[in-house]
Amino acid sequence: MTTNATVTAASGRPLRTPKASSGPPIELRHVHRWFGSTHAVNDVSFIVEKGEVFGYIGPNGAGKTTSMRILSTLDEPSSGDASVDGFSVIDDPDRVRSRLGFMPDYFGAYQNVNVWEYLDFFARAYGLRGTERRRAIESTMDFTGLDELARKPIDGLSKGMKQRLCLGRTMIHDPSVMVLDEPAAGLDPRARIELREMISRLAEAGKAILISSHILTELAEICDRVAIIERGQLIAVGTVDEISGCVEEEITVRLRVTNDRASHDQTAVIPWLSRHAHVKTVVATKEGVTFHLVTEQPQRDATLAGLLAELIGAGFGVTEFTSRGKSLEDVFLHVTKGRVQ
Amino acid sequence: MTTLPPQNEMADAAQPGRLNRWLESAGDRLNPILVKETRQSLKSRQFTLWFVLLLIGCWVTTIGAIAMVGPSIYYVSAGGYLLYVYYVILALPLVVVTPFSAYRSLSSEHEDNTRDLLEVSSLSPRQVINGKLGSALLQIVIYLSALAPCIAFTYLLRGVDLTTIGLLLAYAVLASIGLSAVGLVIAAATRQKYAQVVMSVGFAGLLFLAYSGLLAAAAAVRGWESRWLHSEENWWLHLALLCLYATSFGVVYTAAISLTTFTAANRSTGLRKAAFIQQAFFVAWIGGAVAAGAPYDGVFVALVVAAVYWFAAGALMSGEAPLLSLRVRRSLPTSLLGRAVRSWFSPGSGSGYVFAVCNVATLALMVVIAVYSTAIPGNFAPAQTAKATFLLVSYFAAYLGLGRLAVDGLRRVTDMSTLGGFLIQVLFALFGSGLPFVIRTLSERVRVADWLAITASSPSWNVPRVLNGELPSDVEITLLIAVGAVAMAVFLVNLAMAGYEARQMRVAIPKRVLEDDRELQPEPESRVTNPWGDRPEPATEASR
Ligand SMILES: Nc1ncnc2c1ncn2[C@@H]1O[C@H](COP(=O)(O)OP(=O)(O)O)[C@@H](O)[C@H]1O
Ligand SMILES: [Mg+2]
Repeated sequence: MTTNATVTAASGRPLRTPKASSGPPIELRHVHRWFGSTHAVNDVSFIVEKGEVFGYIGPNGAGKTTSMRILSTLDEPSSGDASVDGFSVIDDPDRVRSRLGFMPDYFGAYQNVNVWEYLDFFARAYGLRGTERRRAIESTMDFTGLDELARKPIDGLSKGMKQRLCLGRTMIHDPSVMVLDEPAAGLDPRARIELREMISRLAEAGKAILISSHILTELAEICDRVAIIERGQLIAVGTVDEISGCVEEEITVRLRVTNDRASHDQTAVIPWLSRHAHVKTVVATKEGVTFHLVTEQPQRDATLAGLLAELIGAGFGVTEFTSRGKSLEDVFLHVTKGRVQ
Repeated sequence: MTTLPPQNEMADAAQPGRLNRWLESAGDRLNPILVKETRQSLKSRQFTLWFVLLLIGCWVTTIGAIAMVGPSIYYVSAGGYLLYVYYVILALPLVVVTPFSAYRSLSSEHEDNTRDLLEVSSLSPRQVINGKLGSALLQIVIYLSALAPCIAFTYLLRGVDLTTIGLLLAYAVLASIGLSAVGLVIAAATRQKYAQVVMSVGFAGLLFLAYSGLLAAAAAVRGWESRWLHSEENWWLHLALLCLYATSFGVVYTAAISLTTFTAANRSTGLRKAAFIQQAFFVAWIGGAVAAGAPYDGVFVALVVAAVYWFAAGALMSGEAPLLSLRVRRSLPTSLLGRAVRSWFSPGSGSGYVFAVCNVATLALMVVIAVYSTAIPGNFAPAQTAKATFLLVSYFAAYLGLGRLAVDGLRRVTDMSTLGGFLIQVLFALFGSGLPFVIRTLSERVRVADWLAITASSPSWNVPRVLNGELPSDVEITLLIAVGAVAMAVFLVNLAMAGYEARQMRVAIPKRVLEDDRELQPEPESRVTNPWGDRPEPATEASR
């Protein structure tokens, strides 16, 4: 495996250093996109800085692909604008294209082509010539670990290898901005870890990386910041910690109390809980009652223990009392829930 | 192809030989698509299959012919017949297989989602189309060279001269390239799955039609007498055909490029220029024919052809968006003269309408001048021809303009594709034109000809009657004034709207873009400045 320095020199020329006058590597300004009456992207704005990995999280159909395609000049915004290194995707698509690597969520295979030929084609397509092209292919294959497979037909590659090849194709012209649409989808855990590692190294080499997923946990470790999008709207932007911060004090507790007529008693516990100072959003579920406990981090355990004692003291037969701190999934669910309707 | 060995060999080949270096830089200059497709087709079964079939076909034919003719091969001249058989075999891969594989190779870019990857790369649409056409051309060359020995054999057998062989091969090659370009246009225009299925069936049908057409043409050429084959008329005819082919190819080629171009870019100026050039050649040929003594009535027929042509073009152009993207506006002309002339080449539906009308009006003017200035009598009186010309142009401006307004109105309500707009325009014109004929067929009792209100909408009813002077003079005058007035009004309304487009001023190119241009295109290398041929020291990496 190469070091980051080699990544920088992937195509034999130094990484573009954005000038002071140029804009941020990635900027979306009030982007809207309508498909007929579907508002696929609704007023999305954000900026990604140099060397930053920016996670773009949202459920399926949230509008991630659409906004990424707009940024990659494959689609046009209905209104608003996006820019790469200060160049508008509407007005200077050619300049955007030479600076940007887009990895769509599909492979894009050609028949009867092997790995080396595939990379060679894209290197040529990006205008790399002679030595420069050979060096770019060489270091890309090195970086993605494809060098042993150079002569293998691409139809025969495994999913993980195909994904590496896609990444290689995306970085072959040494773009300063990379847009990766759900790169980790469908990968086995090992391949996923390797992919994350490669992405981190690309970011260390100074590239701005926009990466999407419908699973926050997939990206949490490598992303400097994330944006959460649902139904076309951004509902939170910030570091994973900042976003988690919104739900900092909440602990989810699942509770079941026993009785012959279970449902009756579950409903009895609800008003009791609702009156409790630290308890929020009590919900009756099939399996019992779920509620959030609001508390400061240090007193968390004490509060929990106190609450359990109070419950028993109040005469409820507690059969289950499970508490769960915030997981990233919860953060995601919490942030997306009920905000956009 | 230059299949460069991958990295390992390059390390030690630090100082490649001159030939190597030359091969490499030549390989670099090749179109990327061409390189890729050649690599692919060398490995593909389909290409190998056709190639082997072609060879087998040739061998069987040759052996069969020799066996049949036997020893009399020295006396009979079987060359012509044998050539035709070879031609039937050769034309199949050329006219059917090659264009279809060009079509497939572009439409499979849509299916396999590689179209997007090409689009985000630095490849220009022109390079994509050139690459696809280039690989079609390469296939043609390969098929031809496989058959070359056989063709030479037919020449040795006598009974066929070189001109015929050359002509037949030229037909096949031109047909193959032209149809490949048509295939690329169709592939670029259809992006939906179901449309692709319909289109590939339709295109295959078209190719087989072309194949049989080509064979028929070849049979005719084979039947030509030597006197006609080498006559001057024949060369003029072929020159005209070649001219028609070349200009049409230009239009088709530009259309393929336009259709693969980013939507916010300027997709229409190139196409308009190609159409304009084709028209210029058309005018030159008609002019030449008149000067050479053809009857001037032909001029009017030519005008009708041109009007139909520009109607189709105008209906397509009015499907363009009236708002120009910033990127297009940066390239708008600034000078007064530039604006007056080039605005109509700039994209936009209004400018497209004005462009089409101006073209037809200019042609009409030429027709009138031609009619009054030639001495050779035709079938129609010059005055009637002039009136019919005026009527035709008026109908043209009115129909195209009303259709454009309708499409423009509908656009505000719903989304409409260019094809949709085109169909609306054509149907509208056909309806107005066919109305009197339909009424005449439906009812015997209505004397349609007496009702100007019914016939007034129909150019195909009125123009021939005016030309022949069949209408009573009061009806004729009323008709001319009415249609002329409607046309004028429609034209003015459209012109006002086009004026809005034309007023979209050129916008300044942002500083950032200029900077980048400079960065991408460094100062041109300084030329030799003294007679001794020294150059100033080139700037080194470090000093930059
Ligand atoms: N070409 C299109 N035509 C119509 N609707 C589309 C098109 N592309 C996307 N959409 C719609 O836009 C919304 C967002 O889609 P997408 O951006 O693909 O979501 P994501 O990538 O987040 O899963 C979806 O409702 C989808 O149906
Ligand atoms: Mg998606």
